Amino acid sequence: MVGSILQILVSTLTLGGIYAISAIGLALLWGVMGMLNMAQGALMAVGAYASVYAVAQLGIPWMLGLPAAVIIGGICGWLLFFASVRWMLGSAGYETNIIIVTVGFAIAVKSLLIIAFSGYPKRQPFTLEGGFQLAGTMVPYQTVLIVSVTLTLMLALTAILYKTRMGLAIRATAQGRRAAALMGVPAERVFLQVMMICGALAAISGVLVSSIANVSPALGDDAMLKVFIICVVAGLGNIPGTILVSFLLALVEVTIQYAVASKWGFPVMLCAAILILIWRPAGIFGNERIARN
Amino acid sequence: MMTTTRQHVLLYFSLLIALALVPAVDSSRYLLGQLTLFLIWVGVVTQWNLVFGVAGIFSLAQMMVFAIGGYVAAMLATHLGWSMWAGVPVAGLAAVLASTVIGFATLRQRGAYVALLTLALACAMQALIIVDTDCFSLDDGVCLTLTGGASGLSRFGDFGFREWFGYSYATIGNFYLALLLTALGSAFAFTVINSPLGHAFRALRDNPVCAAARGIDRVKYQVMVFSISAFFTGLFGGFYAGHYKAIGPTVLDISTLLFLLSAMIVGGVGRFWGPLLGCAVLMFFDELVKDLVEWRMVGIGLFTAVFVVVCPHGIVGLCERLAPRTPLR
Amino acid sequence: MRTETDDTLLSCENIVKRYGALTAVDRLSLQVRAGEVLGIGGPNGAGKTTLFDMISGVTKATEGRIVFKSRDITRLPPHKASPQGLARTFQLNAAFDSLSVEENVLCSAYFGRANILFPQLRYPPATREAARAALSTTGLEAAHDRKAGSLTVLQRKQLMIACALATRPSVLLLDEPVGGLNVAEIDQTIEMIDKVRNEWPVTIILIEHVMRFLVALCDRIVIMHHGRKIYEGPISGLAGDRQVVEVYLGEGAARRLRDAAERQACHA
Repeated sequence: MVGSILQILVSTLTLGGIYAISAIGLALLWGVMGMLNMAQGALMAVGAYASVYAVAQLGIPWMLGLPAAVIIGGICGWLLFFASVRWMLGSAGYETNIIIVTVGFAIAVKSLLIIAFSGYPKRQPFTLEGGFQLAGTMVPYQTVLIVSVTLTLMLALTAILYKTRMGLAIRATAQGRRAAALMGVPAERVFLQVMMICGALAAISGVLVSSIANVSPALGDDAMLKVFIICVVAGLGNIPGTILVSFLLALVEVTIQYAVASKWGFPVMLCAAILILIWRPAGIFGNERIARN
Repeated sequence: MMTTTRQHVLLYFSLLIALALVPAVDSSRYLLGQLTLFLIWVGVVTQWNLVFGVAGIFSLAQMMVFAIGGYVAAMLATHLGWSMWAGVPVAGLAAVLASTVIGFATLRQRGAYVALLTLALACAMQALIIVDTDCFSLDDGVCLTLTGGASGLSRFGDFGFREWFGYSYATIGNFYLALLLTALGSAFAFTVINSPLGHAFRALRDNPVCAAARGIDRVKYQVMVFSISAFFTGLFGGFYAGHYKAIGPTVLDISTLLFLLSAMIVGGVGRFWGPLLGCAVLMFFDELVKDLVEWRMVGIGLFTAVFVVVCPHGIVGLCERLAPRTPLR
Repeated sequence: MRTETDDTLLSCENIVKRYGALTAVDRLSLQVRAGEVLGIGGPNGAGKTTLFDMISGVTKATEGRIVFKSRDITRLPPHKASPQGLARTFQLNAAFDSLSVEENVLCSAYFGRANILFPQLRYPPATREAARAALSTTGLEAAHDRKAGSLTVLQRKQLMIACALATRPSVLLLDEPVGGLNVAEIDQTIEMIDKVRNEWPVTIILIEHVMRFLVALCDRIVIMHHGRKIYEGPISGLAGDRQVVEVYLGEGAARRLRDAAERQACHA
């Protein structure tokens, strides 16, 4: 009994951490520039391949696969900004158009990955073998690695958002794009920074996802859908809520997989999300906006 | 204004009539098959445009409604032995019922929340179909699940053109049926858009508070737009099942949904010509890059993305900018 | 206490609206007689628009009762106010931008007149007639096929009034009908409201800051401050009321108002 609870806990921490990293990126993007980034899955795949390529071709130590992914993810965020959002923000139909544009780039990027690396699954080098026994349960070192990366990232992000000028500018822009711009916050630079942060987060999330499965161009697809659902269930743009819901939904998924059957994990999680949304239309931590006429 | 609207409607239906002459010129199975699929997508996007473009509700449930139509027709044929001709109208009605429920579920949401709620609904339906492995009925000792599970339902009847007119006419028969459905569906959509009901939808999209002050009940008309757009969507779903003699959870793949959403946006959201032009351009471009093999998807992805960045109002918006004297609605 | 008489069309009884700790409207009572033009003035944030929002059902009163044609409408949902005969305009220039001027007015005339169970495919003749009359009164006939989104500020204000009128209301609530207009446009609007008064069987309540506009049109005036009524009576008494001069008018405006009232008295 204790063993299985521990097992569930360990899996929840691993999965929730991976979801949280990706979800924070999406939540930031939504909060700051009202953007649903459908290229998140593709960015995750790019990150995973960046790590594979850097370790295998450039011969750097496996530990450096993650920084390599961060750099490439950031560059992709930069590219995506200048290829799309830069020209679209504030135009009519932006909310829907940005979805199609990011989907278009995602399709192109995934196809390019297939051309460059072939579609065959590869092994993620950013992994630790083995594990240790805890109260009769096997805890893989990989779990420890993932949880520590997640925790470090969350602390770093909190520090960036709450202790730096850049973070202040990002938070100000998230509260009111126009007002922040009028107060002299350089909006475009904030948008670019957020896109790059989001690209880097997606890449890290991709490396971590592939370290418990394997590296393939479609690795981000399922995860992206779950991460989107986490973001809306939490309330779009709400970062602390997003982190909490990441672990909550991971717990639901893992528990169902463990207690009922693996195949029911995803459908039950979806149904739970649907019911929550019907009950709380703006997410658990979101507020319904009141507009003045 | 009135006359230009009429001219556009005339031109639209003349184009459909011109399509009806295609089998006389070239009746290759490939061409007619692609045209039939094109007509199905035009029909589906035209109805989606009512919810998404005209009423401005960011619903991604369209393929779910389509799939419900397809599955109802397929299940009636598989488990009860119904003919497709009886199953397809029932599929339309079932889709209306399901879509009405979806409409109620989305009532309290706004914008992106509607999108993700409806997307979650569609994904949940797909996930639940895939996990369906319990026997529902037995066919010669073979276990049949209710929905066919991951592999879907197949081996049920089609529209019978083959038996009536012979093998080579099956494709032509299905093509004309699709054409008829598309024409009826478009006529229905255009009638709604230009009627008081359509004005109520647009009023709610443009300014919900002001619309309420003019007596327009948001709850009622938001649910209504979900219901009425579902009938032809369900019919097309049923037709799709009958045409391919199969339906599976892949119709609920996000990629199909996003392809149709691209078609709507590339054509022009909420515009008269949007669905037809959008589907035509995307399917034509797809044919063009077919020979590029592995580079094909790269081309399609980049084309769609760049097109939407450059022309955010779609082809119709582009035409309006180039020739502002002819308002296309 | 109550001054309700037989010809009272609309009455608010001690209505209160609270947003959390903020009391936007504080125990306000108001009677409106059939056929009059009542002006509501007061500084920004006095609760004028909130009062309109409560009458038209956009927000619900926290306390109190609103009675219209002897019927309690305090909890009426917003879309049911118009079929009852209450039509309002908005401070911002609210219109259905993607519809033409004519479609805006037709759609208002149709859905705003009576509860529609299921809409017909075409507008009935009575609706078309009401829409035509509303366009004619507001002077928008020539612009009937323009998209509402492409109109000038004045035209948008006219369109909003046309839409409200087309519902054939018994009470017309106008929220700052000349806010943001220049002097010539204000005069034009005064003329139009006069025309509305003569051609339509309607009682008008209007919120406005422009004193000249209130002087020209109103039979009676109410001044609100911090959600309360601080003055109710004829315009002529306004300049003599200490509190009104202090919190709202200021000495200069009070003097001008007195002069204007005298001039008008001479003309009469």
